[in-house]
Amino acid sequence: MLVLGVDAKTVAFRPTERPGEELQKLSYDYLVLAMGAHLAYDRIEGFAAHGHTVSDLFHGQRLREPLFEGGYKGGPDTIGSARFHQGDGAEGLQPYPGGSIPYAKAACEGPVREMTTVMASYLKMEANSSPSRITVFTPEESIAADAGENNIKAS
Amino acid sequence: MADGMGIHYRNKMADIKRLTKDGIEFADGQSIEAELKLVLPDWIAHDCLRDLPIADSAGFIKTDLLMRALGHPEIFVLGDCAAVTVPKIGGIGHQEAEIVGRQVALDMGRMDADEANEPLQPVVFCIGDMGEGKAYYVRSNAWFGGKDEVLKMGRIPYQLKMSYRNLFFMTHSKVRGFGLSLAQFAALKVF
Ligand SMILES: Cc1cc2nc3c(=O)[nH]c(=O)nc-3n(C[C@H](O)[C@H](O)[C@H](O)COP(=O)(O)OP(=O)(O)OC[C@H]3O[C@@H](n4cnc5c(N)ncnc54)[C@H](O)[C@@H]3O)c2cc1C
Repeated sequence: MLVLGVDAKTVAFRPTERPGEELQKLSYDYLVLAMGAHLAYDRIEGFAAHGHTVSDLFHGQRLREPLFEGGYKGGPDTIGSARFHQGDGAEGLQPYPGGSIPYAKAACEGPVREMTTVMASYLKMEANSSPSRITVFTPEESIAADAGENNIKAS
Repeated sequence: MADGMGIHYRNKMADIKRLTKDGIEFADGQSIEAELKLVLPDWIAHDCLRDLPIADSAGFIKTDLLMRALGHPEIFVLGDCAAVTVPKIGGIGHQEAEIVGRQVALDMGRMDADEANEPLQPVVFCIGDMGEGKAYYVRSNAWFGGKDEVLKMGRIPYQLKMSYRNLFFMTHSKVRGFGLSLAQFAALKVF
């Protein structure tokens, strides 16, 4: 989809089976928007040359290369989230009595937590190294902010 | 957990300024030396949504808790493009998709309002691999004002993670809601 006209109730889109396809228009009575977000690696200077991630197969494969095909020197390594710049669109919503939708400083820290625990195990078991070679970082006060305060303490 | 394993930890970090061969530089002048730089980026709104009248100050779409766009009840929004989806996790997107399904059924006269108008109560649900056949299981709504905070670690959460993975491939990524209920039952009642 390229253009959404919310008042005209139309969407303009381009079929993507072959390059060069023409613009098409559809009108709708109902519309479900489920387009996800733009994961902005393209805004991190130096990411293409020096960064790694696990968001897709391409990057997963790229990370395997130094680890499994040679070249990895055993760290130090760092794992973390860039800052998320949340908008004001959930202001005033109260999902639980007295609650709210918080302002998050990291969009999704599950993968950071998981990469950290897996990397720690990898260093210990496979790379003859140590989890102490890892620095994990977060823009939040605490890395598992969304897991709840008691869970953070318990972990 | 990180402390116990000897992992170093830096919080309240500024925006990433750049990655270099030697590490990460942050906007406030701090840096971290690293060979491997494993990074998750900023999640930003798609260009074709950001300037719509239904978008918020960052381009995510504003909705109520029944996932209807503000001022445009004929537009449903779910998942990462919705402003209410915080953090941006698939588990919450899934909860929102069920609400959208019920709202569509309501409008089609296939469900009554009592059943359909159950608003979003987000729950963070996460099962993470820890290596060595172990995993952690987190289910919490405390960040949003709820009372649930469950954390389990060990071999059974790992089995849940592997079962989820198998279900993911078996259903071509269209994992049914019962998968989460089953995981919750196993995590809370079985161990
Ligand atoms: C590494 C990583 C690990 C994660 N782990 C977890 C986890 O353990 N648990 C969890 O709950 N969440 C996790 N998440 C988050 C989860 O993946 C997302 O929240 C979820 O995929 C969002 O679902 P969505 O349907 O909103 O968007 P997406 O899954 O991004 O789907 C959006 C779809 O819309 C399409 N699209 C985009 N723009 C257009 C357009 N203009 N026209 C037509 N189509 C378009 C895209 O191609 C895509 O198919 C993780 C994320 C990452 C990156």
